[in-house]
Amino acid sequence: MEASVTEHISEERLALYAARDLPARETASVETHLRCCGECQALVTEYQDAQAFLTESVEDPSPDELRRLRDGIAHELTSVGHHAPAPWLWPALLTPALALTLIFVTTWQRLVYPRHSREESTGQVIVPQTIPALPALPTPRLETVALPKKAVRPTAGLRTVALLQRADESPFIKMTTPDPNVVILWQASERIQ
Amino acid sequence: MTVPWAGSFDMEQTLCRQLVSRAKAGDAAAFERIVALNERTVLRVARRLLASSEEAKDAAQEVFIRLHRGLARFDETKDLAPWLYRVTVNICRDFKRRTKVDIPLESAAQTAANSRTPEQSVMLSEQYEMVLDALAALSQREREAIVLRDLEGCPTSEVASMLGSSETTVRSQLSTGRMKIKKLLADRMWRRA
Repeated sequence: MEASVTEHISEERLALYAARDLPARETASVETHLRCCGECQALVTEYQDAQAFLTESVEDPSPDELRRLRDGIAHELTSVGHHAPAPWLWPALLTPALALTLIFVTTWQRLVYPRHSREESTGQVIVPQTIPALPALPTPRLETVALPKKAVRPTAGLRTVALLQRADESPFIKMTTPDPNVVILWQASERIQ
Repeated sequence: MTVPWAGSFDMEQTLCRQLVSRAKAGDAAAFERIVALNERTVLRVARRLLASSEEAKDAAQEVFIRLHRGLARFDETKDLAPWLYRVTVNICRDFKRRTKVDIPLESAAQTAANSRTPEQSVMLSEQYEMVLDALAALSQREREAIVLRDLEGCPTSEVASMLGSSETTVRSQLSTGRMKIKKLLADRMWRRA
């Protein structure tokens, strides 16, 4: 970009020129203008003063700051080292983890399947519960009981069934039918103990 | 103050390359030497990019931790300084994002001044305080460009590479930043007078 001798140079370009940041071809035209423009030259000087002010005031970190930084790095690197155990430490770390897993799984199974776990833990075979066998009834003796005859039309089927036993007699089963004239008594030959 | 792009810079970078090579092979003393050689620069840049010196220390610490973790992938044929600058800038950006973003010109300078305790204010020289306040008044990108170019003395092309921008963008940020700083310093001087 050519700079006219009469027109002022933009402040943006002067700010770059002051720190030698303009490309070579632009630098030459700016210098031509500056030779005859005191106003732009004054601006360049202001930028150079500001630049000098900045660089002069740069302070290096104090020894204390540097020591704290080094301590921080050392601490961080040491703790990073602790996170990654040596290969020989893996079995020592994995064994307790494995044992804990087994304990957890066993406890969980006991809670969820209590009967199965009891069988596994005691080794006993559980016999399924069955109804206790009843004593066998002796052959019943069939008797016909004479009842008052009533003119009732007989119907099929039984009305009631009852097991009766008196203190000094063997038990019998009484079955009533729809015909009140017919009652079936089925008596056992022995008492049930 | 040590400006990395001046004087013994090349020699220091050669030494750093050798140290990186040794640190990659597991030499802890070599890594400590890398920290000792670069801690001032990293902490200085972080202090200028962040308002709080405590945050700056944490950011600088993070830079070296990241270097330690990434040593295996680090190309020791390349200079360490640009990498350190770039990572410092990125980490400071992250810190800024976590706390808060840019604040307008005057209030930013005031906030920076108010955030210090009276003891800290006494400790800081008036000139240094003015520079910190001026830097606090810049946008994040302008501040990064000014710190790397004007305070650290890195070439504009290197600054562009570190910030991931074009040279044109960096020049624009530099000129805007310098104009703001000149205005702020002039106002402060005028008030003091």
